Amino acid sequence: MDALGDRTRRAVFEQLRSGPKSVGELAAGLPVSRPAVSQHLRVLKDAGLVSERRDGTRRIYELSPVGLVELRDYFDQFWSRALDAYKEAVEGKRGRR
Amino acid sequence: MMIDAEDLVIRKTVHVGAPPEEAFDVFTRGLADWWPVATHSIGGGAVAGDWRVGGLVTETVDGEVHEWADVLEYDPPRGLLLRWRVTPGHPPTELRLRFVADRDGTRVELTHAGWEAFPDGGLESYAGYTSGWDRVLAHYTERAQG
Repeated sequence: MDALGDRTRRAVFEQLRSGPKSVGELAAGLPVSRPAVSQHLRVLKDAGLVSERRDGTRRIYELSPVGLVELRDYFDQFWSRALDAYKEAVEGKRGRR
Repeated sequence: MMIDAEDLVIRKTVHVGAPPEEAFDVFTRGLADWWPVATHSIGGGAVAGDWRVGGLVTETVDGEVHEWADVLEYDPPRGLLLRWRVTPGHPPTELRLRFVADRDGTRVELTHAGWEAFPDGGLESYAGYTSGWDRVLAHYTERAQG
């Protein structure tokens, strides 16, 4: 999925898995600027993965609850990659003996 | 278009060149050695598992513990069932692993199910999304054979 194809964008998405956050909170946990975080949030919002709400003067971002297909597809691709890494770990361990 | 819960199940298989005991051990006790925390974690934290029924799989970031999953079934070296907390506020899903002796190693079968418990909004858009499946499956076949 293109919305999660970028490494930093995936990191933004992953940070939101622990709960809703403002742009400032997201930027504090990532090695990129606030404008860059805002840019990534816009792409995630367009893809329906993230939604935005107002809390006083702050904008809070959270994972969209209706992104079933996107999430499922995300994990579908994720497991392919993770199992490759797992296979390497199993066989690498044997190779070192 | 009718959506069957079975259509949503993610199935992956990988063959590893080690016996089931070892394959099971690397998947569980060795989880932190292969999990891609750089790109797939809450904050690149320390991944740990308490591998017994009722135990938790966690990621610790700056002293804060995030629960990824809890262990529902633990049956080494045959299999394992985890209740996977995909995202807070979403229903948990079920991740099952089977380790089957095969050729000179182990066939590891992963199924990730329970997506049908998500809000209906997602299911409605699923109908328009099926054309993407051919692409996803082609990608998967390449992976599996690679």
